[in-house]
Amino acid sequence: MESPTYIALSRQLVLSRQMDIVANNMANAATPAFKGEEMLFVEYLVQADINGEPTFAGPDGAVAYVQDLAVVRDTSEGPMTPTGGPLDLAIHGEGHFVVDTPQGPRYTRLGRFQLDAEGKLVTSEGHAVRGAGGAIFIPAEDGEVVVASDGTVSTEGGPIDRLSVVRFADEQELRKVSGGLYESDATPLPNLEAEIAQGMVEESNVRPVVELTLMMAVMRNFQAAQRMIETQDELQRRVINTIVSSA
Amino acid sequence: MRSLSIAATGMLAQQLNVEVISNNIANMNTTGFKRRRAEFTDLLYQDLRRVGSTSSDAGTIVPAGVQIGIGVKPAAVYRITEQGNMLITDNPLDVAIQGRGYFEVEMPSGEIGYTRSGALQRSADGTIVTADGFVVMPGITIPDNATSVTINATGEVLVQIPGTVAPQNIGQFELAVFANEGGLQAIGDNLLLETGASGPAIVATPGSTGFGTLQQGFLETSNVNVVSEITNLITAQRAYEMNSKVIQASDDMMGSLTQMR
Repeated sequence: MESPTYIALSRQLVLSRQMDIVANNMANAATPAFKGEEMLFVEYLVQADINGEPTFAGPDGAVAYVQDLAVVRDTSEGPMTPTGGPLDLAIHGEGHFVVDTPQGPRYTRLGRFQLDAEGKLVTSEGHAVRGAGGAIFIPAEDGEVVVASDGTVSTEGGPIDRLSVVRFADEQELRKVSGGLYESDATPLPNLEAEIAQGMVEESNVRPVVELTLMMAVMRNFQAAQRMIETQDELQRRVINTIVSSA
Repeated sequence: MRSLSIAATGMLAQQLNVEVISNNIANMNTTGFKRRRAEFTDLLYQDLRRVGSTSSDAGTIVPAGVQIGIGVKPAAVYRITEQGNMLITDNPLDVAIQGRGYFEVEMPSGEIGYTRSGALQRSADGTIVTADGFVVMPGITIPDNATSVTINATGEVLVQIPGTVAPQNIGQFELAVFANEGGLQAIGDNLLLETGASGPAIVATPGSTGFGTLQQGFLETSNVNVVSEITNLITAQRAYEMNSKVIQASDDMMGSLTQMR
């Protein structure tokens, strides 16, 4: 007879985790190239029984707990903001830049690049951005850097390299690591159709209004599950009192 | 509940954002000032792998499982080196740099500072100095009897001496560029220092390939765009408020838990 309490508890547990996801989305509403996430819930069926005998017969004999199966990423493109920086690059359409970190290749849509002391194109954390021929070096004395929409990097001295942009068969398979980077065990496919916009940054695709509404819903649902537990508790107390007084 | 601390990181980030924006607005009339932009990235992710998430229907839906991010952190405060507007002053020692490059300034410590503020002046002995009295390299002295000073686009300083017909060349300004301008360290007073991240200074005369030219009688205004700063300020304030709402909601959820018998 504790099932209703535990079912409501399973609801409360996933709601508190959903609140974490909402809070993380909201905290990253101003993080460039951040992709919002939402929780995917599923039923978790358990046969309700008393001493091994099903309580209810038939296919409805199971009680359904709720489980947060996975976090789904909203992969839609965020709005583009002009910044005026020549090395601020945004990808329009599908695709990720390839970044070489000490842990191996990582993928990112955050194109706020800069040059390091040697003139190498790097991310804000200093990881090299990969071009068709490895890391891209831009000589300081060459003047203005121009990035064409197909990713070709050139200066007054002529073309240097082409940024490599990749895509994945299943984008949900990418795992987030910190700093706007993703990792994947899958083999990336080159995406030559990606359009690169220079002097632009892709903003976070989190819509604060949606998140705020979701946040209120999560809070109220949590309180509703709370009521359910309290009601069940009340019910049990009454049962005990009734049995004790009739004895 | 994690959401309390996640929202707290969001509030801290927006607070930094407002600080950067207010510094930009405070410097909207500073000659040669380059606006800053606070940049944020997501913090670490925690993997909550549980039964069911890995064996879900032969992995058809989402094999990634549950990954919960734990907030946001400031990644960097960038200097945006976009050219400022040219303000006409008609002062012969106001020199603006059109394009890339920095003036080299010899500081009292002997170090070399770099600046784009070209509001130059003459010292007591006629040397061209910055507003703080630091010598602009290579140290050009204007003779006392000079009637006019001309600084041309390629940095040559020409003076007119009474009694001579042709103007006299008394020196040549040079500009420094860096592989990574963003890596220069700002030390206030419009001065920047070379660092390991900026790379060594590459010095050449103005107008060389990849270097800017000089404009006499002009000053480069700050590149702060007040309209976009105010818009950013409003966005930052609202983002701050929204994060505080998350804290309130999480608090309400915990409050209802504590009221449970």
